[in-house]
Amino acid sequence: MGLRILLADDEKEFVDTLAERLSLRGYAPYVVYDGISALQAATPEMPDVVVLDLFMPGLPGDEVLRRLKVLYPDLPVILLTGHEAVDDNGTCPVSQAFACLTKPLSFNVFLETLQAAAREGKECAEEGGRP
Amino acid sequence: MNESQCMARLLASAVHDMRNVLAVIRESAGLAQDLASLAGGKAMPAQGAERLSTALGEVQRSVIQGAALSEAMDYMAQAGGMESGVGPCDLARVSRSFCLLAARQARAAQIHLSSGATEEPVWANVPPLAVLRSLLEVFDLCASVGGQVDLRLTAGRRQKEEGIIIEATEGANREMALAAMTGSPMLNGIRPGWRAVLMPWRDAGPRFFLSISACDTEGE
Repeated sequence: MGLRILLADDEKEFVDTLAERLSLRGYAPYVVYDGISALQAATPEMPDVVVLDLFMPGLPGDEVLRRLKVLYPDLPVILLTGHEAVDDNGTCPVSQAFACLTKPLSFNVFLETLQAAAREGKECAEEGGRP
Repeated sequence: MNESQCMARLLASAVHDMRNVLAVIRESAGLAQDLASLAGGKAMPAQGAERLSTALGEVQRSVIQGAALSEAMDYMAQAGGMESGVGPCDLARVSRSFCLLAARQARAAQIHLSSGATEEPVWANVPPLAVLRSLLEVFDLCASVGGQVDLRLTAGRRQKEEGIIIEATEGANREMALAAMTGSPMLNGIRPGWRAVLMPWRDAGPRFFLSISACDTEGE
């Protein structure tokens, strides 16, 4: 099975299409549409990478990120945003995230970032003993 | 909340939505390309597949253009939302944003706008909206002589002062545009307490240096 990717975004059309494109390339995406569902899905699914929209109703992506990192410090999380969230140095203001990507995405950049995040997550898990 | 901050909030909200619209279009076009590629020549004749690929490629290019415009609008929203409106702001980013935001007007005035490359940000303690406003005044000066000029805007320094280098590189009305800029060294309309000056920089070719600085006398 390909990498397990948990995608959380309230923009249903966007995230469903993104999941379909990932499926075509052998990934195993799992889609939720809000922050609470992302938290609930993270444990049983144990994804390799989590992709969160920053602005979601209820629980925003940065808060989901914070809570996920308490539970699973090694779990790589990528943030997506419709706002310009990177600063002028190109760094992500939410320091716990592996990366922060701005919509609309370059799909190739997204795939490269997923792969890099999964690699880092795997290395951290091996060093730290995450199951 | 003042009017500028109100406009900034609404603009930021609209830009966020526009980015989402662009994201849906881009992923949908990408999915269609994926599916067309998987179908190969089975589902449609080669000519049709090629046409579909071209059309979807055009959608992708338009989305990239829309995303660049969104980034410029987002920057303008950030600039308008600042409490005092005072930087530091990156003049290179302001120049890039201006070229994108004014592109439609530039086409109408037959002015070609481009931003020169800078290796790193050029920080200045000036209000970004005042810089945009000054650039628009320079643009209007060139339009007033009939346009038809190529303008290149590059953030830079002159005698340790940060500013924007404005070059009239080509065009039928280039000389008239240069004359119009020479005759209008002080730009109007900038907020009280700030001064925008357009200085000829002849020893460096047909170019000007736009300097924006605080001044002691309000409304000078």
